[in-house]
Amino acid sequence: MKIRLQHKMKFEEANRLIERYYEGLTSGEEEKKLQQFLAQPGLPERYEPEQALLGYFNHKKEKKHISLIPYKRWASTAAVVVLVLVGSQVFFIQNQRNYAYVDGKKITNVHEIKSQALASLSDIALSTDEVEEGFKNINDNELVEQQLDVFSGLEK
Amino acid sequence: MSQERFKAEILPIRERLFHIAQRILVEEQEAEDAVQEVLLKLWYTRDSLDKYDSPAAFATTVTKNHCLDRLKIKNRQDSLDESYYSRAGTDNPYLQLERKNTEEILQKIIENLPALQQAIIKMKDVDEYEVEEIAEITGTKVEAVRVNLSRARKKVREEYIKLTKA
Repeated sequence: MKIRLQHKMKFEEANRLIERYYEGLTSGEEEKKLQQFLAQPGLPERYEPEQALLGYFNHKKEKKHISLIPYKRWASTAAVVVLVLVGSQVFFIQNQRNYAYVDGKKITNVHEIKSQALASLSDIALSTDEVEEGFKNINDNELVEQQLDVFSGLEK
Repeated sequence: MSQERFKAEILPIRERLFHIAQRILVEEQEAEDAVQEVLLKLWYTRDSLDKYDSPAAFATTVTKNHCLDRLKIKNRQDSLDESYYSRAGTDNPYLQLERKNTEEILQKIIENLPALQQAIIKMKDVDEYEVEEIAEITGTKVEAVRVNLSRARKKVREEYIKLTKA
């Protein structure tokens, strides 16, 4: 019986990994590869115990990951994206002219831009505990100050 | 408690924990296993260790209780072992398991591993720690962790084949 293994592990390599697995010598990375090999349909019967065992652990890992990545994770990712957008937008605007658009309104007052940016930052920060946690290390004010440094020259 | 604080405050008292364990369990290897189990237990609950005035004192108490529990279980097992294994026929819980699915079988097998092997196989195969990290947390040699992991995996395979291919 020939099994097509395009870009996949050869039997010899799989056998070697299985042997090392039972000796406790495989790294997490190697175990992932082995699991991929074992997850293919139509493997010879002799791989059944390993399919069961690594499949079982893989299932447990997946369950763990799912419970660890609820919307909070997404919320914090989204917060970072927004932060970068706010930052780059302010920067971009500075490159052109000293005004910003907030909700479609053109604002030329530096203080108002600053307070708008701060307000949007605290909106994000308040959305979840985890995000707040992450923000502890970053002083919002300082960050906005930094981003808006470019304006201070114009203001004076 | 951070990873660093755990390493700085808990790992240095390993020797003391070992002596406590040995006084209760007598046998060296058993005391060593017990200490590793305690350290892994503390590692997983390290977030709550800050609650205690002295995490080191708390670790001592946990070790004492853990060893006493172990002793109790051991004494009970010694008297049960024979009757358990001599149980024949269809009411053997192992044989009943055959009809259940793979996951339940494997779960049961893993639950029946010695406590330390159980903790190590879960850390490596589910929680994705590397052997080196487990060795660091338990203050043991990498080789010792590897041997326990290997025993656990081989045992699971052996039992699985026994239960499914019989």
